[in-house]
Amino acid sequence: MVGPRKTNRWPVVLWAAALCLLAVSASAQKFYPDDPLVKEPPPLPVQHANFRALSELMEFAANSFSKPGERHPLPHVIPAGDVNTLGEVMDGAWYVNRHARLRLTPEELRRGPGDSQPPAMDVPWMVLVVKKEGLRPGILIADKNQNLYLLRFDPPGAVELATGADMVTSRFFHALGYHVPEDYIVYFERSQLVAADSGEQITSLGKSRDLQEEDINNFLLKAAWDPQRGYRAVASRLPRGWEKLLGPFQVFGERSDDPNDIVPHEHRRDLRGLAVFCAWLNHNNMRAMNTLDVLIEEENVESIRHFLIDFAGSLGSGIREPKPAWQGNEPITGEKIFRNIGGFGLITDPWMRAKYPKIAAVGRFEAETFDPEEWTTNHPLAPFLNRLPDDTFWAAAKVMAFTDDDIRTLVGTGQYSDPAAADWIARCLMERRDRIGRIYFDRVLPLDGFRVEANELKFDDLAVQHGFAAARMYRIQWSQFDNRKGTHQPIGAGPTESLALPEALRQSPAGSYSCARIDGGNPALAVLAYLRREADGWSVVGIEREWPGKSLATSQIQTTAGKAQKRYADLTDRQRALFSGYAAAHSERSGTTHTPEDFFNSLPISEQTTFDAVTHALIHSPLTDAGGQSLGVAIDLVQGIERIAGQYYGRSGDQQFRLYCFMKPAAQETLVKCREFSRDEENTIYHTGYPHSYRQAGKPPSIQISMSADGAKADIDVDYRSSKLPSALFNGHLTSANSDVRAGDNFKAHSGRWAGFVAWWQEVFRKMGKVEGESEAATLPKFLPEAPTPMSPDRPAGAVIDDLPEAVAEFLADWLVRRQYGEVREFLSPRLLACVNIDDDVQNETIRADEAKAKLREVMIAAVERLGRRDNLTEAVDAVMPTNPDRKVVEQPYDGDFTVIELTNAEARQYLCDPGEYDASLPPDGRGVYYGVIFKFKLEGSGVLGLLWTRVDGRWQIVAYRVFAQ
Amino acid sequence: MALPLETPVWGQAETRAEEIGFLRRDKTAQLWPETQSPLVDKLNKLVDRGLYEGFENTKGTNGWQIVLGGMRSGQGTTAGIGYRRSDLWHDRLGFRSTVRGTIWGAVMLDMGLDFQSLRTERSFIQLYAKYENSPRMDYYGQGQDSEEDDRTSFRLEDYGVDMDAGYELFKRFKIGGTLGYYHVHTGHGHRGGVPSIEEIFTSEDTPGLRQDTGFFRYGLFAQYDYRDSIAGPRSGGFYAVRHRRYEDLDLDQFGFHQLEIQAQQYLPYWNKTRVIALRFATIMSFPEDGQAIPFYLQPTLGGNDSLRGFERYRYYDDHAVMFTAEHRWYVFSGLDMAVFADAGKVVPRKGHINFGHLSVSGGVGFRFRIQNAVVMRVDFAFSEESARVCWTFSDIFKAEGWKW
Repeated sequence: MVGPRKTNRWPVVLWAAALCLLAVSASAQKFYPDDPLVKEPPPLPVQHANFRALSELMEFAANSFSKPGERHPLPHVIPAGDVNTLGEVMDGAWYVNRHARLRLTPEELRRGPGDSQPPAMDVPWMVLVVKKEGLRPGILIADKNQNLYLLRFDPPGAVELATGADMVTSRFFHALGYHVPEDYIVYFERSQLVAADSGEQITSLGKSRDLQEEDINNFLLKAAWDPQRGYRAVASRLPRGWEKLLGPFQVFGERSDDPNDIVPHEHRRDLRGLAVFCAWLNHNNMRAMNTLDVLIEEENVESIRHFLIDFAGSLGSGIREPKPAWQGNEPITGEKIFRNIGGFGLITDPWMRAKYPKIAAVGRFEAETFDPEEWTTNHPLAPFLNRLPDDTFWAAAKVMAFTDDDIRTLVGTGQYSDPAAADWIARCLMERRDRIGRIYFDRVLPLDGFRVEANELKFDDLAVQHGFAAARMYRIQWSQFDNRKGTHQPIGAGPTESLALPEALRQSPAGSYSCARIDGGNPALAVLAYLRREADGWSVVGIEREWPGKSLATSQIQTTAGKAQKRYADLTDRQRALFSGYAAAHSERSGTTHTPEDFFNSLPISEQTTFDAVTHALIHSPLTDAGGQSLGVAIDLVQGIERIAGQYYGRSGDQQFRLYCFMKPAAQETLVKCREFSRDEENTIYHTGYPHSYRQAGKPPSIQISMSADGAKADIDVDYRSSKLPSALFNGHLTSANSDVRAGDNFKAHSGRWAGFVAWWQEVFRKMGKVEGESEAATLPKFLPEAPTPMSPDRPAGAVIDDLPEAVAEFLADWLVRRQYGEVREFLSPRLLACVNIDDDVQNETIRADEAKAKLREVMIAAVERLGRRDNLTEAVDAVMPTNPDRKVVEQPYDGDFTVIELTNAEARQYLCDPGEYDASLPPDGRGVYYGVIFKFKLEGSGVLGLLWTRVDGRWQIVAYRVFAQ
Repeated sequence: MALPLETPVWGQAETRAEEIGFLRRDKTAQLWPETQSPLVDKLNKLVDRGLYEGFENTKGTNGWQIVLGGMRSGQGTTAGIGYRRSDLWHDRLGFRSTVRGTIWGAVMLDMGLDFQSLRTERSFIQLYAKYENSPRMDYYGQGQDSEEDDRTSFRLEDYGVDMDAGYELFKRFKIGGTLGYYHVHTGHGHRGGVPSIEEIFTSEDTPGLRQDTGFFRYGLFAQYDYRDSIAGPRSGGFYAVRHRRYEDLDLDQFGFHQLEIQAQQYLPYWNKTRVIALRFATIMSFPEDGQAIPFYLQPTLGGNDSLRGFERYRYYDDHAVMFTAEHRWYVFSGLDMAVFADAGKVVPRKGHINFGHLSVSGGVGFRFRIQNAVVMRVDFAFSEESARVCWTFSDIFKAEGWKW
């Protein structure tokens, strides 16, 4: 049960807490026995992954001019999702903890992902492909062992610039923990390359033709050549079975065909923290195009591993030239355009005056003007922009693990012929490393390496350790932690400076948990270290970091984030029948058992609204033939639901907010025959896989049914904006908002065409479109002048009111008219407050029980202020009638102001915020215990509020409330 | 585990691994194939056809291309299509051909061949043929004292074929020769509100007017080019001299020889975020004995590329000298700005070439870049005569260095 989110004084964390009720009831503990996990569980097999490319130009446009991917719902933030309870990324398909945890030896650092298979030099290489221009120009060769390598070269006049950067950065990323290809620096003469009989030259039109020797000569004309050593290239070894390359991974969203990819990429710590690593190594060219998904097989299971590739644009290299000075300091689209225009060149930034060595192999790389916080990639990337202080701390700790010697070792892999080049690069990396540590260790309390030794908690202060901060005193508040309930029981009178475990904890039994909240003098910067009593000591099982203003949200993608949930019971029979089939199929595929209701209620809000809106439109769209004979309604064409596509941040509009359906055999024939739909232009760019488009007649909104070639499936959505040119270019038709019923005025448009649809997802005080053309039974009240209902007398505080309508009237009058909040509180059951404040868990909220009460008061006051001065109840509220004719409406004197409905016990139960409080002994069909009161505020655009009343200790009180879904 | 996801209501995990397993199984039930928009392949092919390289070398992408600009100034906004292949016949031949025009009836067709197979590391041979019809050329009369009010319009229709061959004597220093045929027709002008040239001027005071002829032209050149980029230099310089002789094959009245000297120098500072660009150019034309220099082959000043504060082709004479200084600064990766000053004059005699009595103009401009190449320029220029907006699809100092 959730309450309305009215103002930003009602933190989203409450929503998270409330909505986590479902999670809590299913997995009601913070830590599991196997926490912290070091390694991800073995992956599920990937059975049908296919290659998918991305476009450099589209990525540039999307990242630079829109905001793909989910961003933080400020002022709240979404924590990283791929971490264990210590905040560490687990070893898996994305990342493997290496140098920071294991201290690689110099040899291991140099070796990187592998150095045992360089291209064999004793026999000429067969050149398979030569590509001179475009994306990733280079030469593909096979050596005598049939190993494949992609050769990439330096630009003329800058030997070692790009290849050195590529090699060094690749080794750094490997040591940091990422999957990177196996790279080798090779030197060779022209005679080492021989055109293979089956070799291909990629022509200037992107096609291929037979390869000739002179093609290789022409290619090498544009490669740097050293008189002493010949051509120098980085040879990247392609994996065996390289046909299993799946293309780049996107930096937001998830891969839709990978069951193991369950955390949106913009919320992965290894990708958020990558921002810090890229800043360190000046890899401003980082983007989705520089990644690669590869299908690998381990222990007979095929799964996808995610690689970073192509580092030639890092350090001081701009790939084809020394890196332009702006790169790394500004994105391609600039940041200070108007200042630079108006300043006539007189205003400069520090990076413009940076000094670089005149060493061709170094290019433009320095540390003097380096600011890790200001550094940027060429394109803004969603995970980089989402980074939080704990993400950057994680990354900074990894960076600081590299000693000066480690850095020199890794720079040595670039094989720079000029010692000055290697020295400069190494010194710059050292300085940049320190700047990263200095800045990011200051954003949190930089404690790490927690352990318990001799009953004393120990940790490392990384800032102190590295000389960025003076030694400090720590204050610790110890508590016993209830892992099931998520509550803390403080120990002692207050914080102590002692790190010794209190006696109470030392006596606790094995399996119990405790917590140490540590700050270094600044209470806003704190670390919570969770300990578990083991049979033979203590283990640190959880770490959480606090920083000023931290307020967690839960991802909107997967939760309803505080919005009212549509209940399954409110769907029509037709909708429920359709959904049941989908739920059953889901059960079978997932191997789990659930009811359709449970499954529906667990869907993200966007999937619920999509299913509701599309099926609602289909149900209310009759079909007739040319002679006017009925052909049923559009929903009759649908056999079943294959998939519901809700909101997927960053995906194109034609992949969101639609139903993918199995169609009945005669569906396409019916569409052709009916007058209401007509064949539209074939889908050639969008709706991939569904080429035949049928559009509903009339102005938008209209249903579009895109059929597969065989007519067996369809992609069905509602277009709320015109698809006709030129308006489609400007009205958002090509965006995801086109098919999202919640966006803009789409709801209003939907209701205008298909009656009876209610924006149940909106909250009480948010604007809701006027519903027109509804049936009488579902009419929302109009604001007509009416005679005020006589107000009930103002009863004194503590008075017991036997009559429910009188109690309701008293409550509403005290609240909205008299503003007597103290007396209002008497109508609020503790169960209501308990519902609002799920728990006292420090992790996911900053609200405690007493604070929740205060918040509720604030909300009520805010409501009154919004409403303004009202002299009586009739001026404040209006009754709303339920659309469901089965609801038993109680006659009462205030039926112009609010509606009282007698609910069955079973009906009431679904509105309780804590089902655990429900008395299971009550007969489900019994009545007289619970009553619902619904009304609407007399405000333009107001929603409908429902209150659940019952007797608590003889008094009528409210035990739940919600935005009412008709 | 801090996953931003709910545990499915139907799962009760006992371990973290199990919880992750539930989430994966839930995802398994909702898998769908990754799809790729057809636009992706199209756009990637565009890049693979040398989109970025085409900006850099000013020749555009391989295959079909949209062409903007590149015709004589003053004929209207130019647009057209072209086709380019940089690797015909196994990279032995480069080819480019364009057709372009304006709404005012100007047309241009051209074709270039680069004999890459005959090229070595140091040598090159190129063929270039062009037909251009420009109905709105401007003419104000001869000399620096021509009156602005004497503006007339004429049609200039010409075609030519030239073969250039060169050799790099040492790094960045080339010498070479040029050889070709050039035919000209001048006629009635079509610029609205301006009289046609024959209404004000005659062939006596304007040699070559209405006297169509063909030329055999040949010459030598030498250049030292160490600019960092052809299409948008920020450092280096370009120094060149070309001498070309025109022999009037039809009328034997307009034979002359012409010497062109050009110097460009780019002085960057602050990591090339600021550049001082300097240019000096002079063209001197010398008629053969008893012959005259046709007005349409005289050097001119005024327009988008010289003395920008003056109208196009404002000044004609046998000799011209021109100076330009620009201070350019970085705005963002796609835009530079500049303040500039132009000065120059035309003179009838070589001895009059000096720094006195120069016409001057100045202004501020925007240079739009894609990577290193300047792809569009908008200058706001002012002079004693006028204030102008120059909008062109090229850099001020032409890429090839020769185009005046």
